[in-house]
Amino acid sequence: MTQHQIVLFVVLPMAAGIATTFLHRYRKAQRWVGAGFLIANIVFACKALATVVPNGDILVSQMGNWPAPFGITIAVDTLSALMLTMASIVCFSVFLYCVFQFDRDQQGGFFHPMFHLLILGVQWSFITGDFFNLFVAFEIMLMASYAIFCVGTSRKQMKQAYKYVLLNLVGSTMFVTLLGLIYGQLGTLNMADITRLAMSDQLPKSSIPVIAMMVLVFGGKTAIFPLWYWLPDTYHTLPSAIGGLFAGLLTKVGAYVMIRVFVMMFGTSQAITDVVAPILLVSAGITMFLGVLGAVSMHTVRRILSIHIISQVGYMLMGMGLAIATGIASDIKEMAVAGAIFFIMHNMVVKCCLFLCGGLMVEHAGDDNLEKIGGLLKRAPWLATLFMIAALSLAGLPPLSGFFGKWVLLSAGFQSQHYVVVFFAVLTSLFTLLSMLKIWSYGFWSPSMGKHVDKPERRPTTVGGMWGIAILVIVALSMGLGAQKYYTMCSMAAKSLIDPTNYVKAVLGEQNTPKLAINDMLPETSPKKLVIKSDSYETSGH
Amino acid sequence: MCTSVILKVGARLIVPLSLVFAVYIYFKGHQTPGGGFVAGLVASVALIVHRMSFGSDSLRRMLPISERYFIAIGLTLALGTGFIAFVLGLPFFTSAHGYLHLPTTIGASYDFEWASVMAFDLGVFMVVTGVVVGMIDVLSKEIQ
Repeated sequence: MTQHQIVLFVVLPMAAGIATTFLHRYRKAQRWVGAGFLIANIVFACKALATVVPNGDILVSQMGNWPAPFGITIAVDTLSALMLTMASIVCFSVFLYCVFQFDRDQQGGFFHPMFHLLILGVQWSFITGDFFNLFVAFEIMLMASYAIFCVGTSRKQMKQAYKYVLLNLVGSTMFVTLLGLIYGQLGTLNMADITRLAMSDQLPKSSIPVIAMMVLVFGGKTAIFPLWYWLPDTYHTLPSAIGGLFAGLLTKVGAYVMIRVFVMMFGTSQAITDVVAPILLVSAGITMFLGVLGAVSMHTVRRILSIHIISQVGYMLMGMGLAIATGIASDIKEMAVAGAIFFIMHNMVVKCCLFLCGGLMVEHAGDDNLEKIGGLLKRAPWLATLFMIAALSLAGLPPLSGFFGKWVLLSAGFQSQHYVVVFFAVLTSLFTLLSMLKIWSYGFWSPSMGKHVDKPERRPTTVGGMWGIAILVIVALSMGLGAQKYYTMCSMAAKSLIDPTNYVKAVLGEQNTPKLAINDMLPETSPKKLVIKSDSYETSGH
Repeated sequence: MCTSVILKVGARLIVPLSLVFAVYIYFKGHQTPGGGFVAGLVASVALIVHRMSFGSDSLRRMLPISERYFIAIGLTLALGTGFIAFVLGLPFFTSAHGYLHLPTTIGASYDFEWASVMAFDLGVFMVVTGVVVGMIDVLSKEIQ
């Protein structure tokens, strides 16, 4: 993949959105076109990963050929490539599920264009190298999600959608205001340029509170401790597939951006990490623990899964917090970031998979209230198997993906002696297992409840949905069984985030890159002198 | 739908004038204030005035295609402009530009600076018009 081709991650979903708008009367064509674009998307994401990973290269393209701090930069480094690959796979599985399980009404009208535009927003946030552009990408993502919120409208859903829209409007307003303030104080919004300022210690003191307030904006999107109240109420009202898409992508985009901003851009600036790191660490502990307590107390599948999203976000925060906390050796920091990245990838796949499983449980049993359903193990043995694998990997049992993510994070916590967070993380893990077993034992294991909703007249067709789930389970298994390979990529991404010299160099060019104190070399012989010499030689020759 | 005679007569004057003004703003917008977005807003104001005075059926007859297709075509244009540069191996959205010597009545020729960005701007123009007209159409149907 050459460097200018990375723009395809924006162009492809947008083209898919446009094509499906033109085809909105032809449902079949709409699906085929969408599937084609999504598969192309996966292929390109894998190609980008294959290009970037061997040497930790960074693909940079300057939009409109305007040079870096002035124009808009898009860049794909290892972190972006990993996120793109996982996201594109998740999108494809959800697409399969939607195509086969949704009825005509739910897929009607402009569902497909909105689906592709949502993907556009997500992928754009993964590749953009410009702060304001990130805001634009967020807006596109949110606009599409508002529209998708109305799929298969029920009264309850609309009420919660209103809350969601309002909260996100407040978040966006704050985001753009903060961007204005940052631009006023730093004079640039290019991520690499801001990183350069942070690395050479040129951030003005007044910018510290502004940057720290960014935690509120991204924290709201990611659903961290004091700002998570909107999530459990909204997600469970959605159709499961949409819930899975949102759970797999939207909160994870928030987490990705937090890594990009607080670890890469401002991680080198002591003044900022001193403020942000304690906030992240404290919030991480509370987020994961309260989240899982909420999940244990719930009695419907979708509610349990929704609240679980929050508790999982806590682990990602823990990784970020350790990565920028003071007094930690840089190899442990690397480990923490790598763990967080691994965990985000694992969570995208597994969380989405569980939501889809929940959807099929509703198809089979007619309800997802755990007190009313049962006996699904006999009715749908394959679904039960896939659910079990996904649930255990979320809880983090050894050969599965969740275990390795947590293992890396916990050992980073141990080695840096942040025992309190580690304690909460272990406790949360136990409760996660408990809540997953609750779904398992009530929904699948327990005897069928006879008179209730578990015997609908017709046997639902769930083959398409099962394919979607199977793809995700295979990816989750590969992350568990081939954890070493994935972890190597994650730690490579982490290395270039902890020391962003290469990123700055790739975007801004050699001469603008500040030298960190460690790399300080002797002044080179200036090329100018050589030129003058040769000139004088030539003139004397004549 | 209650419309007054004054509005109808006024609309005959306002609609063509603002459409022409929209085109003017569109061409002016490359280096000076203006451009596709503002031009799109002005054009959609014209279309909405037409809708207010002659009703939505008349607007439907006036527009060659549904305003939703306006959005899709505009986006295609905008994306296509960027894509040409991409096919040529340049960064996305790299713009070509040059000068067009236009003869004028007063003798000296006028140099019009064209840029391939204008095609992108035309896309923006169409998207904005489509969105505004479509949204107001849907909202006023709700009210009636």
